[in-house]
Amino acid sequence: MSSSMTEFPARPEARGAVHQNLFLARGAREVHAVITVDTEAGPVGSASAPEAAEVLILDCSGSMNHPPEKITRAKQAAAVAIDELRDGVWFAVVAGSVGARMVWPPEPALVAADPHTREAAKDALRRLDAAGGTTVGAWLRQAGELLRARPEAIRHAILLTDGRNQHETPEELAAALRDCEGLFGCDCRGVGTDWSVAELRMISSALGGTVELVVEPAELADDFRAMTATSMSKAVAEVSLRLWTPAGATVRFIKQTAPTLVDLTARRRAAAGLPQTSDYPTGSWGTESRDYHVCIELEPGEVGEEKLACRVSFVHAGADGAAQPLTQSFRHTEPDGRTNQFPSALVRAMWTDDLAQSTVINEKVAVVTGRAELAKAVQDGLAAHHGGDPDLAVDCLTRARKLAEQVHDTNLLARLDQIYDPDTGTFQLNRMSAQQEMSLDIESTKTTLLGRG
Amino acid sequence: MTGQFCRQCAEPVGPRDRFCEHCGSWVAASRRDHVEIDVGSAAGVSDRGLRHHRNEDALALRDISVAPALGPALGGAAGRREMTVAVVCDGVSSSARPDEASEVAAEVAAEALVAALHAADNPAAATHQAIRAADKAVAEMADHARADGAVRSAPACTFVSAVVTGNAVTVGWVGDSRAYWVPEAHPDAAPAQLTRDDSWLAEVLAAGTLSPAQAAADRRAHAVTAWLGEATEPVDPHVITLEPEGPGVVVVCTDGLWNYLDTADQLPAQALDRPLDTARRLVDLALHRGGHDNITVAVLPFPPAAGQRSPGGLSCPAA
Repeated sequence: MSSSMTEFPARPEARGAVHQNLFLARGAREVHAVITVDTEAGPVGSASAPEAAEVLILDCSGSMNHPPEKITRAKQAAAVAIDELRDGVWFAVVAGSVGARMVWPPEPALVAADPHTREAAKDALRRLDAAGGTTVGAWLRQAGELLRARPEAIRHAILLTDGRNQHETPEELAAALRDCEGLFGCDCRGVGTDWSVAELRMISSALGGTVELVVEPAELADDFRAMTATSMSKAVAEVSLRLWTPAGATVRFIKQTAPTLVDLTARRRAAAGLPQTSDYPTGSWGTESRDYHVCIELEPGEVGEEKLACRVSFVHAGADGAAQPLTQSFRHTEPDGRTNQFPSALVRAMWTDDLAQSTVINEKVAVVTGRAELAKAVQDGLAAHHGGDPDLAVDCLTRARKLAEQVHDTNLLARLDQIYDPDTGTFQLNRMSAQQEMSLDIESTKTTLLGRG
Repeated sequence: MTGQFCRQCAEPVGPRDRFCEHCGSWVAASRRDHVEIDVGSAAGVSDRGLRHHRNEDALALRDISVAPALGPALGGAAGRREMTVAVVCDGVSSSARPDEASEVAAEVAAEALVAALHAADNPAAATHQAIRAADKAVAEMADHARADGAVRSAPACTFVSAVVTGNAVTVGWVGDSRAYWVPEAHPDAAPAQLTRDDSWLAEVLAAGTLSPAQAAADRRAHAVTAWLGEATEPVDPHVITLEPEGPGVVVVCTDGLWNYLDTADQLPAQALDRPLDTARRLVDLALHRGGHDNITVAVLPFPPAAGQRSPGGLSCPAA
């Protein structure tokens, strides 16, 4: 394990914990719980190195020439990413304008990285010009077609753009996303301030990736290097959160709450052959930490009765496509402080007449709830600002500032304070730059992990 | 088997944790939720039922062999005498710690019975001694509770015991737990209830002041009028001895079973050689009819089969 060429992640082993208040008041129906999970994908021999496939999607629409530094830096960043690909990783470079065209290889296929193909791809990049419009849905479909040829691989794409999806309808983009969901993961990067945070966030959260604003084109190279390295550190593709609920229960929501806020509720797919069980795709996993918030509505039980509200575990697509459980274990803390381990996260409910028990809100549930309210307050504030309702915008952002203090979100608080005037105690929305606004918007759904205690 | 099905919806329970795979109900946690005891010559099952969240019934079984030199009072035959002993108690739900009361009473009484029978007391005298010992033990729990400063009613439970020897069946009881004699099937012998409940309902029916339908509908119908653990006055137990003419089975049970029996005729006698199967079948019958209360059943064949003793009582909580 001395050379980086032979260090590959093993199938991750997941360890988690369930945080909830077990007790509900008589007649109460709603159960909340936070499930934290950490996976460890330690290095193993190359024999078990997972196959990886990477597609770089570069926006080559005409706007990338204004200023020309944008396209130049984008090409340099793509070259850095290509250098980062280890030998044997399947890759391709796609240029997007109206439709998508192959940059490397010339035919629509993936090629294995080696010294020769990496050089050839970088040569092709240098000859690339920018012209035409923006059809992100078509670009993603092209990436999907290429990656589909490697069903065993951990499949990933990087999308770089500087504009809005002007030459497609929102329906066309949504349809493309539906086709690509679960097919590959995609990190999105926006250059300049002419792109839409909401649009790229929709793509990145549907495809289990991140979204960032690249202020300085010079930063791109490091960012691409990091994204490629992260993608290749993934140990297992297509991890899904598997949720069992009792008969008669309703899933109010299930959200990833860290490292980014992603509402998974609508991604529900019935788990084949398992009654009362659904899978929610979460993308590929390596060594990482994630937090989830589930809210289940139950038929109330009698006082003193205990029920299971849901059972959460994580599965990945096995070699034959059938879901296989990860190796996993979850810590549960009983009301008396004793802890137990179970192979899935058990969210429970016990009804009581003791208000001292039922009115306690679990501290971690309170934090993720506050954090979700904070994200909503920021986004509602920005929407009101655009909708011409400055009073509402200021109300929302004032509330957001208070919430950010409460949940100790210093990053978001710093973004808010850039547009906050402490002398007047209000927000200077007219002086907010496009970049400040986009950064604030992006920051609103980035969260910090809960403590593991 | 009983313990592998959900108590709410009767669906099978998954092997992974203690919740029903269908409705999510909590299924098994306490060692007392489903207890089976098989001493070879007799067996019993105690089950939480479908509606209560703990089992306040308790069951103790013993299989003893008394040396003839020490047991001249127990019948004329030569050789060691096989005897089976069962004690079933039902915690009074309005009392303090009824689950502890029943467990203490059943164990104390079973030990007292075994000691008295080995000491050559006749089964009726042994039964009186055992009931007094159990009553005292439960009453002492109340004293402990008061020492804790807890302001609660004292622990209390019902009691029924059976001692089955080679020539007689001795039954003692306090409260509304019952014993039945079920003769091995032949046309002239009908099953019979050996006990008479110490209950409001039984007293009203005996006095003839209400019709059976009126009495049964009264909310006091199930109230017991005697129990173990009453510190202020000594317990007044009932003890009877029966000398059956032929083989049969003694069934000892709590109201969790007999509430679902319209007549004693529903008790099966066909299990002389497999008492555990009979006990399980009777518990399942009560569960399938609703399982509204804890259910405890002990089955003691008469005469006791020799040479079937297991190396010790087997007590296995449900999976």
